[in-house]
Parts: sequence; structure tokens; C-alpha cells
Amino acid sequence: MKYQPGRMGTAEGIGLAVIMTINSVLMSSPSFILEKMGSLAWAVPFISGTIIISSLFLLAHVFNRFPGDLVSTTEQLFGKVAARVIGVYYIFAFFFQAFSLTREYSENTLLIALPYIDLDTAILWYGLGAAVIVYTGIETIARVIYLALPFIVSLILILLFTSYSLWEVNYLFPWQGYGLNQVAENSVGLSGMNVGIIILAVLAPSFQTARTLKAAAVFGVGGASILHSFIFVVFIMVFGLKVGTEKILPLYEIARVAYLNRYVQHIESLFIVIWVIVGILSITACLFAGIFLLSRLANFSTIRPLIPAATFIIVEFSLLPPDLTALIKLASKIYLSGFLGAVIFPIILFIAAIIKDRRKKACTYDQ
Amino acid sequence: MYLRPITLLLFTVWALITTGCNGAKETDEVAYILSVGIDAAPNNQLSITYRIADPHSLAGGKDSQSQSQKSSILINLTAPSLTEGRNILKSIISREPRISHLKIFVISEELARKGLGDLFGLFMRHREYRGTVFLAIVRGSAKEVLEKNRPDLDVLTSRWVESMLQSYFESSYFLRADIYQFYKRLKNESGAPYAVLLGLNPLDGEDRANNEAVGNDRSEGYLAKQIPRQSGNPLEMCGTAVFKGDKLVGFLNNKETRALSILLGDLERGFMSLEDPLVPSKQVDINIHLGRKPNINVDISSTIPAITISVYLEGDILGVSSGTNYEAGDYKVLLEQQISNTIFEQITSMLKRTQDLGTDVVNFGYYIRPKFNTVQELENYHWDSKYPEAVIHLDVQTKLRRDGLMRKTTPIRKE
Repeated sequence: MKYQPGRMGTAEGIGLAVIMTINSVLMSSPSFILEKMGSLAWAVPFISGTIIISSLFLLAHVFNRFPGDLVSTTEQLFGKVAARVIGVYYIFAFFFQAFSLTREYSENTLLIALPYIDLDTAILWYGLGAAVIVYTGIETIARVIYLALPFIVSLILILLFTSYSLWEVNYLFPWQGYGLNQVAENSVGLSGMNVGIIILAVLAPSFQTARTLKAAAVFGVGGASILHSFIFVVFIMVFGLKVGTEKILPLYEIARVAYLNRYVQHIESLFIVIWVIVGILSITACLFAGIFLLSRLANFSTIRPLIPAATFIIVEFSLLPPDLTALIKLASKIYLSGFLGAVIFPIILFIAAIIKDRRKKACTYDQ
Repeated sequence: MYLRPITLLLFTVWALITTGCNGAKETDEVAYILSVGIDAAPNNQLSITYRIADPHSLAGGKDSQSQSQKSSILINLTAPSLTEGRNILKSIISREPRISHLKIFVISEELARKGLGDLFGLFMRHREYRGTVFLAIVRGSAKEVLEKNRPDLDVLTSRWVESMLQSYFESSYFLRADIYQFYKRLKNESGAPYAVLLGLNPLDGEDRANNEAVGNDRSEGYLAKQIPRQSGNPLEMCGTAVFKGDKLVGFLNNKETRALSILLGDLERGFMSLEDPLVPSKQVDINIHLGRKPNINVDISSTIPAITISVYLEGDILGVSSGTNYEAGDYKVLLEQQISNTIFEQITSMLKRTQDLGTDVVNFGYYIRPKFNTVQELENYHWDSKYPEAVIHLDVQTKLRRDGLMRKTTPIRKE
């Protein structure tokens, strides 16, 4: 008997969608995006979000015609070998994301909160935290995320609004940034950063109907895109283009410059709370998705024995990059290949589903 | 069988050891640096002065005067950089130096004229330095400023600094300047950086102002160090230090600083003593504030940019010594005109000085951003080189809104 991840609804789907995409704004990607696109960087989350939602809609259509999850549907459409190849690709994608997030969150924990802790210890705690939560299963993870979501979003909004007095609207101009072509080209490529969103397709049978999946995509990815875009807008208004491109942790920096009065300052401690919650939950979701796919390919009846081994490997891999800059460079290259998993594979599956569907219908008429 | 209790136990232990303050330091283990003064020293070195809090002396019920003198200690050392300075500081004090509660950087004029770019690399990168740390330039020695600052009303010098700069809007004779705004102006496409101007007053009562009164203002323009007075804390904040790039190029006096605050849209209130329009030997006291943010438009369609500024001020009459009934009718219009003319001339004088210095301290370049489609076009326009030649059209309107607690002024009875 195969391992069953459990049953989930729109709320859990939204939680998973947000947690898989929110990391990009908590990390250094806004400054990279700002460097490439200039003052129009705020449009990127909308464009890449629209691409990701469309891609999930295509997958929902595929699952409607050929029920199952990503692996089984690929098997129905392309056969066993292709299903395994795609399965291995996504395992790599999720595990890479888990390992890079573990290292990035640990490094940044040292940078902003605990400068004297050993990196190994920080990584170990993140890994252990994630492993314990993975043990409870995806239903629990998704519900915890959904419950934590209002707090996470509220804290982010509070942080952004505390910098209100520093907003300078004209920094959002020149409105085309470094040019519309730059924005169009890069937004499409950058949608690969959100390859983790495919977790919704990996766990498709748990969402019961394609409608639930679509609702999770629209509200989860759509909501996250609006939040991302607002963070970009505030970030640009507070720091401007040149200073913005220098920052490693934009949201943290916004919190650091906020000064309400003598008694309310140093509010970045709020950010650290968001930071740890989102970090642990994102690593957990990625770790679960990777382990689940692994058990799915190997037809295991449970995923639990894989948790310690997978966590150990993730933690060990996290220690490999020599420094944070090397990791960010590696991640930016890998994330670009994430475009394959986030957009290209879903399109291929969609086309294959339409062709196979037509053939099926043709065969039925022939009879 | 025992898996669940063991897991629960592990969880509890984990929660206890990860959420506690095991890395925390007690206040008597830490030396909180409150202010840092930096002077240029020979051989490309820095003379760094630290004002460090002594929380222990603040405990108990000692009188505030003795607390004020003993609540902090001063350490001066010479080092090639701030980081090396901090290392050397650790050879002098037993506690761990911590900068996260730093309130102000005081930098000497001599060092500022050489450029502050080297210092800012550290300020922006190191987590303990915050963008909200105030930045001041001192006319003289930063070490002396930290030594001789004796706030009378505040126990801590850091509280004095914070209170002063948080309430700048009471007069706008100096502006709130921190390293965040300085760095933003230093790096972004437009806007010249500025800092607060400090100076130690000799307290001899002599009037050292080298700027004559502008317009109908009764008082001259002062820079820090020039206010005629004989007592109080010798340290004073007055005027603005203006930069071109990272180098100090000049100062704006208190009147020009207030004119700058008007154009920055910051002026919340400020008193003015003007010549009486009808009896010039007498004065009229007014409290002015911005009626709305100034309307600034920069036309870049021709080779020389044209800046149009419209300022709308509101004021309250505080005192009329001549007995003229400025509360009503045509007299009121006359007084409003007097205020507008004075502010017009003060703003013009400030703008002329900044154009001469080639520093767009008002940040007019900010207003041209929507006129370009791409960042490349904006950068190629090179606003900084255009600003000194810009033609400026200024319009100042004033409306007197309130007359205080008096309906009219009755003349003093003649003998």
C-alpha cells in the first residue's frame, strides 16, 4: 500500500502556496531583482505570479482528465521512465530548495540575531526543527502554516507601515525601470524561483478536486504576489534604487530604519519572529515534498524512516557551500532551471493531456 | 511503547534550551557606547572618542546633577579605523563594547572635508550600526564636543542628543539628520547629503554672526558656535553641514536651514521676529508653519532646467509692539506680505548658496524622476551638473490664521 499524505482543503492549499513563495522576499532576491529591473521591480511578482497560477491551472486541467498526482499522471501520459525522470527532477528541486533555505536561514540568523552561534549548530537546529514537524505529516504542516499565516502577514504589514514616514513615492519612477523588455524577460525566468509551488501538484489527490487546487493557486499565489509586490514598492520607496540593490535582507533593513519614537524603535525583533517561523515551515514543506516524492517513486508505505536520513543529507549539504555569496550564486542558477519544473513541464503535460484526450475520443467514435 | 513520552520529553527540553536567553549578557557585562566622536589624526589615523554609559551609576536615588556627570565615561584613542578602534577599546575596558545603542556620530569638520565615504562602508554593513544613528559635523574637535557637552536637563548625554534631534521641528534651526538619509542621498541619483552642525560656544556673550539679517528678519543668521550667550551647555546645534558627494563643502546658517526645512516640507512651526511694516523700529512676532507641502515643479524641456516653487505658509500673530492693529483688514495683508517677503529672501539666499556650492540639498532631482521613462535616461541627464545653472521661480504666500488670545492691539498710552 502506498503512503497517503492525507486530505486537505483550500485553506491548507493556500498555506502551502504562500509558504513556498514567501521566502523569496525574506531573502536577498528583491535586491537582485531590483538590480536587473530597476524601479519596475514591483511588477515582477505579478508577472511571475500570473505565470505560476496559469501553470497550476494547466495542471488542474490535466488532473481532471487523468486523475492522480504529478508522478502517476505523468506515467499515464508518458510512461514509467518519464514519470521517474520527472519525479527525480522534482525531488532534486525540493531537496535543493530545502538545503539552500536551511543554509540561507542559518547564515542570516547569524547575521541578524545570534552572531556568536556556530553555523553548524544553527543549521542543526533548523534541520531538527523541520524533521520533527515533517514527522507529523503534511496535513499538520499545512494547517499550522494556514493558522500562522494571519500572524505572518500582519507582522510583515506592521513592519512595512512603520516605515511610512520614510516612503518617497518618486523613487518608483522612472516607471519602466531598466526597460520593459528587461522586466518581461526576467519575470518569466524568475517564475522558476517559485518551483516549490508544484507541491500542490505533487499532493494533488489530497486536494480532492481540481477546483480546490485552482482556488489554492488563485488565493495562495495571488495573495502572495500582492504581498510581494507591496514589499517591493515599500522597499523601493524607502531605499531608492541604488541603495536598495546593496541590501542582503530588504525586509530586515526596512525594520531597522523604522523609528517611531524614543520608546518604539529596534523593531526588527518582530522580523526575527517572522523569520524563524517562515524559515522552519518552508524548510519543512520542501523536505516533506522531497521525501514524499522519494517514497512515491519507491512505492514505500510510509515516509517516516526516510525523515532522519533525508534531514541528515540536507544538513550535510547545507554545510558544503563555502559562504553565503557562493550559495546565492548557485541558487540563482538552479532557480533559473526551476523554470523548467514550474512552467515547462506543466505545459508539456497539458499538451500531452489534450492530445491523448483527443485520441481517446477519436477511438471511442471509431468503435 | 515509550516513544511518545520520550518524544514529549525531548520536545520539552528542546523548547527550553532553544527559547531561553543562553546567549544573553547582563548590563554589567556590556559597555553601551552612546556617542562616537571622530577626528582626523596625523598619519592617516583617526582620533576616536567613545562616550560609554555606566548603568550602575544611574541606579539608586542620586541627584540628577551628579548622575549627569557620572552616568557615562569618556575614552579617547587613536586608530587607523573604527574597527581597530573597537579592538583597542577592548584593551581598555573590561566589558564587551556594544554599538547597537549608539545615538550619534560626531565628526570633525576637518575629517568631513576629506570625505566620509570610507566610514560609511562600515556603518552600512555591520549589524550593530543602525541607520537611525544621528550624524553631526562639529566646527572644531569632536573629542572636545564629547568632553564638554554638559546637558543640564538630561541625565544622559544620549538622552540630550535624542531629545534635541527629535524636537528639531520646534525651531527648524537645525534638521534631524541620520546615517540612513545621508547614505541614501550619497548613493541614489539625486540629493546632496547633509548633517547637523554642532559647535562649542565660548560663552563670552560675543555676537560672532558673519551673516547679516536677511529680509525683514530682526535676527542675524547663526552657525553653531556663534550664538551670543554666556551660560548653559556650551554645546549647541545650529545650522546644517552640506556635502557634495561624501565631502563637506559648506554650511547653512539657522535661517537658511529653516528655509531648507520649508522646501523639504518639514517645517512644523517656528517663531519669527520681523520688522514692523509700518514702524520699522518696532517688531512683530509670528509663529509660522506650512499650510501645505511646497509645490515644486522642475521643467527640463530646455537646456537649462527651470524650477518653480510655490510655498504656502500659515501664521499666528504672537506679539505686536507698535500697537498697530495688524489683526484686521489691510494691515493684516501688509503683515502677511512682510512675512512672505522675508521667507522669500531667506529661501532665495539658501538656494543661491546651494547653487554656488553645487549641492542640491533640497533634492530637486527627486521631482524630475517621473519625467523619464527609464533609469538609463535619468542617469544620462546628470542632474547634479545641471542644478547650479537652474533658473528658480519662487512664490511665497502667507495667510495669518489666528491672532492669539487678543482681538486687537491698543496703543500704549502716551505720557
